Amino acid sequence: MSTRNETGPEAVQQYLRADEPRGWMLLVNPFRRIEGLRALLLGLLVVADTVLVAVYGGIAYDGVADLHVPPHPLPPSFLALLPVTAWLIAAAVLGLAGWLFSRSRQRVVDYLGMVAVARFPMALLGVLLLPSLLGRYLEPINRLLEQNPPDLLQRLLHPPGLAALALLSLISVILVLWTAALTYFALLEASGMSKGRALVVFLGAALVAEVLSKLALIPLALALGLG
Amino acid sequence: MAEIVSQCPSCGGPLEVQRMGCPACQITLEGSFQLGLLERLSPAERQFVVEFVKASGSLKEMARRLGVSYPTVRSRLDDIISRVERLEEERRHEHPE
Repeated sequence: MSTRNETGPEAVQQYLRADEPRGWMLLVNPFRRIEGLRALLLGLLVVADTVLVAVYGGIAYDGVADLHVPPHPLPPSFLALLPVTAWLIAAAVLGLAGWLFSRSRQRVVDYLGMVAVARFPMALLGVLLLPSLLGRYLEPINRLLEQNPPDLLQRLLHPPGLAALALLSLISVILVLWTAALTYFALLEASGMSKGRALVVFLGAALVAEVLSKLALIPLALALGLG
Repeated sequence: MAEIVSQCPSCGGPLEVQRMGCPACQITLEGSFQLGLLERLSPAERQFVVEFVKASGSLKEMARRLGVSYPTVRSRLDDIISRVERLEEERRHEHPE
């Protein structure tokens, strides 16, 4: 039994490209196109953006896929170190998980670059939370928390600019979910694990990375003399 | 020259070679000949292996030559490794030592 000869480099290209994500999937898995050094360079831009947003907007990137607008201003050096620490911890934990649970060939540069690129929605959220943009709707809430009036809960339930706050919450949830999806696909592509195994490993590694990034706040604060 | 196929187009089962001929001296051999592991891969998978060898086993070089990304090449290589391991397992069951 034989068939027509359809082999050659072009056939291999077709065979390889059949496996690549297309269309809207590229929004959550761009890592077949953005990988290696390209991912690292783009990722460094994302991290640099989060550092700038943190310092100028007073935003604390104190977790893998979350950020906070502290009611009291924090030192710029502390705010600048938080996104870098969170990125490095996430890359290290996911890289370690990949090394432990995947038998595929892996590259450190993919973990560093892809995990940084996956933080793009967090960078975007930080920009939206700048006081000159949607962040101004958080100021009345922060003032309330600072004053701590007896009817705090009642007043928090009916804050000024409720519609804008609801919109901001919705955008935040979407961007956090987008970050989680991007980080999952960063692990999938950097490690070469199967989808099911990558999902289980991702859930565990994300939890560990989140806890470690919170624990890292203590030595960071001590090192900067914030006691 | 046409490419050999390893799976039955009717039932999907593994095919075996039953007749071979030498075009030079016209000798014909008949019997039951097993296909090698690589022949049991699809033509695209076999060509992938050829390109991989030509790139000296470097996924990075192979990705550069074919204009695709490293994770794409690595993912297909992992697929082929799994397939070869499955075929080896099947062969062990078919012909236990």
